[in-house]
Amino acid sequence: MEYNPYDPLLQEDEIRPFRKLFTVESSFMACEGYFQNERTISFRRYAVSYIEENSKCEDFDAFVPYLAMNYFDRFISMHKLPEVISSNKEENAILLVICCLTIAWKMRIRSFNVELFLTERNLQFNRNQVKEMELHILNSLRWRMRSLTPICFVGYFIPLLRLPRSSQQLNRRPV
Amino acid sequence: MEKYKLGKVIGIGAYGIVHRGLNLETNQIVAIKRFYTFDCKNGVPYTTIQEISMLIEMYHINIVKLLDVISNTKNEWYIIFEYLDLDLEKYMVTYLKDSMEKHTIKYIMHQILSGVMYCHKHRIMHRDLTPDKLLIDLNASVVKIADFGMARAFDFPLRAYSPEVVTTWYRAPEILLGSPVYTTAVDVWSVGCIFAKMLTRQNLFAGASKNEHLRKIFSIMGTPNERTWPGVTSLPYYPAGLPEYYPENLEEFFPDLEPAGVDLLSEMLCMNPARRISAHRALQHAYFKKKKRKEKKEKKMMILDPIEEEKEEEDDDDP
Repeated sequence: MEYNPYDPLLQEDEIRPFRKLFTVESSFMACEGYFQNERTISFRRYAVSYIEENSKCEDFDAFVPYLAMNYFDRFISMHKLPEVISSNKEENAILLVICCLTIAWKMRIRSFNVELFLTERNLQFNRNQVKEMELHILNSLRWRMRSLTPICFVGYFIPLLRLPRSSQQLNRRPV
Repeated sequence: MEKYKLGKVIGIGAYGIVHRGLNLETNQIVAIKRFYTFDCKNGVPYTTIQEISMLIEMYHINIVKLLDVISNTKNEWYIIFEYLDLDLEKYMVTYLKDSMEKHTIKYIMHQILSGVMYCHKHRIMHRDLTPDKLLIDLNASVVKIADFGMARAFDFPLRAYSPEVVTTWYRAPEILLGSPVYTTAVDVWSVGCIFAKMLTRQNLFAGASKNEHLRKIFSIMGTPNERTWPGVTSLPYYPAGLPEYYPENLEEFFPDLEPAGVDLLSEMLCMNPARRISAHRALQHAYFKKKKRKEKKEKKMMILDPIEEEKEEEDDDDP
């Protein structure tokens, strides 16, 4: 099932789903102090621009870069950078950012093709390296890739704004 | 894998080898499924990512909890599950000795359907429900479904590796007929077959080969045609030259089953998947409504006693 941020997993009979959402949300956040960490702040800045640049495509999906950043933040705030490419530290860091992005794509779109993604962008990584880095990320984040983010709460808050009926219709796939 | 100790092999299935195991940090006994899998020309397959990340967030009392996933670069996968040592297959042999346990069967059916409904609501199919995928916790009187979503997560083809290992007797006719797409209705069919098996302890549609199996289904449920199931005759494995069977009266196969139960069973075993009852609707079926007050006290159920006695009170007023 594709990742749909408006459809978090809830029990049928959950009367107050929001209590559950709040507790679950914390497990999809970067660890405390991460955004003040000087060491990671420049790496993060790099990741943001790289992900923004490389998620551009014909059928752009706004959740893909957002999800990819969520994976990046959680990963880098809690884990050491795995050495998939030991010969070149910089390449290794780029590969991490790319794999956050490929996982995010795969969560949203079935037809995503890694090979095509790499060749279109002239990236020199092979698919084994991609697979290995993806596995590192997936295992480190304990396969919790259906991130619960503030977007999941949008449906709850919209009716509270008392907007006219016509504008309450959410665009479920904003572009 | 340092976190777990691999114990003895407890099963070999289509997915791989299942070990008993121990979580060394928590001392919890777990089941460890070991896989060797797929080519990764597209990195980790999207189905695996989507399905596992879904399964890891699922919490339902009637679903075996997926606890952990460990994979390494050698392409070995370990999926860690809750462990229960009794399954419905063994349970039927040991505990469901005579047809007296009508309550127990109803109670088990309700739990199976609840678990199935939860997964279907999240658009997750099982595709291979059999009695040995239904684990039983005797202490808590709970039935839990194992391996939900695994067929898709690991892209296992739906065919028997060998008849001894994987049984096809619970498989829906649309799968047997080679339909290229199928829906959550395949699981409802399997639950129907499991229902039948619990009632008589025999497989309703047992056949030595696939054709034999299909013929058996047709001979009881009636040969499907374009009128009862539009499109059926053009499915790849629609057998030519089979006699046109008329549907049998299911009541005759299950003389001890109450009429509501027969009705539910026939709705679950509806040949046309589009017209088959959903798990959600099945749970609202008259079969699960409480009938008479005295029935509740009638007989102490064998080990699997309903724990939802109070909840059932609500239904007392229903006809």
